[in-house]
Amino acid sequence: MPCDPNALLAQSQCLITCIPPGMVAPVKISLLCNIAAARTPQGVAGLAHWWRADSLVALGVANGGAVGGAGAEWVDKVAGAIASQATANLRPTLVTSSINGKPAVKFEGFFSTNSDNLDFLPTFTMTGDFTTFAVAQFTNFANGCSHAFLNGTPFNCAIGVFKSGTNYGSQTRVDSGANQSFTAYSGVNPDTVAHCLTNRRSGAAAGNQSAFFNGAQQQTLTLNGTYTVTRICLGAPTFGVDYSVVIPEILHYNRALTDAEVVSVYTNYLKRRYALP
Amino acid sequence: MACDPNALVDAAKCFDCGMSGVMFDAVEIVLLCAIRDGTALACDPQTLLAQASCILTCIPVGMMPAVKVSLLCQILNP
Repeated sequence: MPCDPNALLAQSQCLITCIPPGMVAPVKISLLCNIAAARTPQGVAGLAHWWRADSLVALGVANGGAVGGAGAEWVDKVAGAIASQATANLRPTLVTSSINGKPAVKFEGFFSTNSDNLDFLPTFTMTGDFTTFAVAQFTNFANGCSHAFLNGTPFNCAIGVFKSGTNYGSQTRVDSGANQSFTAYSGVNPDTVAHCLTNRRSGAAAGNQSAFFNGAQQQTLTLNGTYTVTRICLGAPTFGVDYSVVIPEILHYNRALTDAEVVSVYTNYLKRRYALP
Repeated sequence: MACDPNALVDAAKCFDCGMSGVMFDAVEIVLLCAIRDGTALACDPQTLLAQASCILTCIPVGMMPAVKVSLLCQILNP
């Protein structure tokens, strides 16, 4: 933004002339209100659940401390849905400074039943249309697919990262069974960069399932029109590959956002907050 | 919102409610915090003033301009 004083004065001349001095402060507040509304994910209707890791810092969880036990649950900022883990050795840990210096929850995943995960039962249910955003950065990611967040059992609703050789992408899945998942290759190595994965379900018509990588739509696919999610959790309790992932934030909308809304949430909020591409 | 002066004044009328200069400063800080954090606020004067009460209590008036600059920097470089 060029800050040439003469240009600024010229641009402001009309405002200086037309806005009464006593209204300058109210106008400034009004404008800030509009900016605030544009910059929050709650400015897009339908935000049903919002997990952000700074809530754990506010609870007093220390760097490296376990997340999910009593007093250290990851609580949803909108609905108060609690993500917890009763088994101590399955609890993820808090990283107080992670992607762009923001706090994140670190999950260690293994190709076994012993991977870190947080359960949302019984407060989180998921039916019908939805749009979910998750910011994540993987490390130690082996070939395969990692349903790292919002994973059902058996895998009936998930978004995650897929890696096969030098092909990397986001993967989305609704319902179990064959031909229910697809992978949208991004060409971005999930081992090295932070990214935002978005998964959208929109009705039962053809092309109802979409995956976005950093706000850009990668692919659509037609999946079965109905699904039943019996369990929602964060992590991959019963399926996965060896991986480690930090997740600072998850947004879950209870409707299918438009393409423009997906871009808006990514560009105005997540991209800025986490310095994503 | 278009930057037509009359439209700006019309949209701001609800905030022309007798707030003092320091109250406007505190509300501004509340809004800058919301912009920085991406949190939603109900933008009516009563709610904003309620949110600003702890700012008024805890931040010396003379420090408010510096706090605002700090918040603008944090918004620019999140």
